[in-house]
Amino acid sequence: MKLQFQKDWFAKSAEIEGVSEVGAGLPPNCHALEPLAREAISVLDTRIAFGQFVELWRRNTGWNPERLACEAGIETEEVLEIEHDPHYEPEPDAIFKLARVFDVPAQKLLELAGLVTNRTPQLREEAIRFAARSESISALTEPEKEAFEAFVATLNTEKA
Amino acid sequence: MTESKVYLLESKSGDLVEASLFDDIQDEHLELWSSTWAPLMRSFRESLDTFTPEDSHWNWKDKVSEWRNFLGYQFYSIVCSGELQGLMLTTDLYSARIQEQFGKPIVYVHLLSTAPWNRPELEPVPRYKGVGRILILCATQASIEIGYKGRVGLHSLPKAEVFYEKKCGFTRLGKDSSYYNLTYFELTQTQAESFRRNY
Amino acid sequence: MTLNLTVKEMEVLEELAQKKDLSKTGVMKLALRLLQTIDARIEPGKKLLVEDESKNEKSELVIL
Repeated sequence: MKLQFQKDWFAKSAEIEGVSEVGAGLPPNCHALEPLAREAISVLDTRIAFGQFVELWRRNTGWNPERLACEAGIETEEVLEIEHDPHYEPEPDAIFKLARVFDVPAQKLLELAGLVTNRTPQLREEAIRFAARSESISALTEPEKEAFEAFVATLNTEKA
Repeated sequence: MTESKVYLLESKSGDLVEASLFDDIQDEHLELWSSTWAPLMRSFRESLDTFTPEDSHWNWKDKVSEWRNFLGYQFYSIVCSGELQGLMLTTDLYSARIQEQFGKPIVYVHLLSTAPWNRPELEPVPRYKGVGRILILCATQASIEIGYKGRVGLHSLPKAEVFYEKKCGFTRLGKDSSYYNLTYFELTQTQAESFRRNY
Repeated sequence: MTLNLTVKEMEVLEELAQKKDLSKTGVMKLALRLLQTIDARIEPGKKLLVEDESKNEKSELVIL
């Protein structure tokens, strides 16, 4: 690629530009350039929240794992792995099916499940906060219910 | 690698100074980045008293090694007075989002950066002016040469939004929630033509 | 280098050229760049997902 512009073009252009910030690309505090190890830890963090979200949604609806699996059209084993094993990498297909049942954006669930790059600001922080506030035992307690509903609202935040 | 003659405005003297635009980032440019930009950016990040630039964590060495062998990715660098003044990474694999050119291929600016000493937030009197618009000119040129008629797209860092909208004539398409909530901008063929005429 | 395309391939090439506002050469160059990038990023057996966010639907493109 060769540029062939006259000197006065550059003079006028510099005048137009003046004193400006000109950066384009990755935002401040983006971890996309961090080493792989840090990225792996980050995936586990959000996957724990993902598993807890799936379990709490199920319990909040009064379903057992088998019922959720049936409604979503996935294997019961997949539901159990998702809920209990943060090292388990779910199938993208399963995420889409669960997103449809939960009525939340598939993209956000894919990010939570660690299957796509985390590009939604604060989703990771919200996920960790949610995971810390919720406990996975039988019926939802009031604090768990609150935490769960707040997290659903985060997932459903519309695009601007 | 092709070298083009460009000019930057030196703030102190008010003179136009000759510079070189390269359509690549070579080892010598990375060496300059590593020995001049990177330590400055690191010191800004580590110091609690000073402001942290929005792109202080970008690692150009990693980006070059990741994308250098791909036809669909291009690097550009500007050198003036033996110092690195600007860097840019573009791709020609993305499509336009503005309705009037929806789906047509664009040159997308992945990363664009000017040297720390050229930035108003880091230097009371930035050393050189004009790096940003030269790199955008370069993107429009690449777009024309590949048959994309000057169409360019990018996600602006928050503090540069005014620059792209008001000083380059891009159309603002709003915050992109699928890309870190950065604001997406696009230049149509007509806007690129105006830009290239310096209007 | 001469490309030997079938009638059907030629039709597709022309269609894409019109849709993308590119020359036929431009379309072929874009295809080459895309293939190189996808080939390098996707390991054998993995799938490329295409998503429709508005409908929460996805379709798969299986890359061999």
